[in-house]
Amino acid sequence: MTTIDETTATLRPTHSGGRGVRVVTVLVAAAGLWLLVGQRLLAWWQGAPLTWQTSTTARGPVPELGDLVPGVSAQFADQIAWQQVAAPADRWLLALAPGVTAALCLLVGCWAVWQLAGRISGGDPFGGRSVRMVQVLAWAVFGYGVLVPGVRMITTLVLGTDALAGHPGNGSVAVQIGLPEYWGIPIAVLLFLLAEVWRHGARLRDDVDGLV
Amino acid sequence: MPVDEPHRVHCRLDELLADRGMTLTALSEQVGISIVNLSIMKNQKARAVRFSTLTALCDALDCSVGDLFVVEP
Repeated sequence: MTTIDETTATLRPTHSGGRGVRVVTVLVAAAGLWLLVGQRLLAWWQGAPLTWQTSTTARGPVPELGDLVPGVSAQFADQIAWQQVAAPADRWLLALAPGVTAALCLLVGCWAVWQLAGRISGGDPFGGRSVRMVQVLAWAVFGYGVLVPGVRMITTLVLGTDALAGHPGNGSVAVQIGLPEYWGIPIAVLLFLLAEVWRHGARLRDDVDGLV
Repeated sequence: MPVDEPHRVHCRLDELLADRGMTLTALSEQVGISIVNLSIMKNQKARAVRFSTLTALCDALDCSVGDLFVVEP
C-alpha cells in the first residue's frame, strides 16, 4: 500500500505488510532459539539428565498392550530415548552442537527475511541487496538441511559409542544417511532459482526506472 | 537502457506550466498522467518518455516536442 506525498509528489510506501512479516520473523527466531538451544541449556543448568534420541532397527514387545485382535501385533520400533545422569560438560556441549548449528542457520535465515521484508515494504523489492538476501536465505536453508543432519550424525555417533562403551553385549552404533534429512537441498535450490528471477526483476526494474 | 547513462536533455515542463498559469495537478487531471510521473519529469529525473505521454502533454500544453525537451550544449 502507498500514499502520495503532496509536497514532492512522490510515492511513500507504508510499512504495515513488512512490519507483520518482521513480527513473525522475530517470533520464529525466538521460538527456534528456545526449542533448539534454550531447553537443553536450561536442563544442563538445572542438573537434569542429558537426553538424546537415536533410531534403531531392532524391535521389541510392548508389554502394556493386552490381547489384540487375532492377527494383529505391536512392537516397539525405530526410536530409542537415551538418558545420562551427571553427564560431563563436554557431553553437554556435544549434545548442544546440532541445536546450535540449527539455531545459527535459523538466525541467518531470519535476518535475511527481516532485511527482505524491509526492502519490500519500503517500495524497493527489486534491488541488488534483495537478491543477495534471497541468496543468503538459500544458503541458510542449505546449511540447515546439510550441516544439521551431519552434526547430529557425529553427535549421535560419539554419544552412542560412549554410552555403549562398557556394554558386554553386541550393541553398536552406526549411522545412516536418510534422504528426508536433506530436505534443505531442494528447497535451497528453489531459493537460488528465485534469486535469479529476482535478479532479472532488478534488471527489468532498472530498465523502466525513470520511465514516464 | 543503461541505468547511469548521462544525457543533456532538459525538460521545460516547469517553464511551460508557468507560461500557461497551469499547475501540475491540473495538468495531471487533463492528460491522465500521474502527478508522480509529472513530478519526475519536472525535476529532471525522467530517463525515458513514452510516445503516448509525449502526445498527451503536447496536446494539453499546445506545444511541440521541441518546446518540451531541449538538448543543452
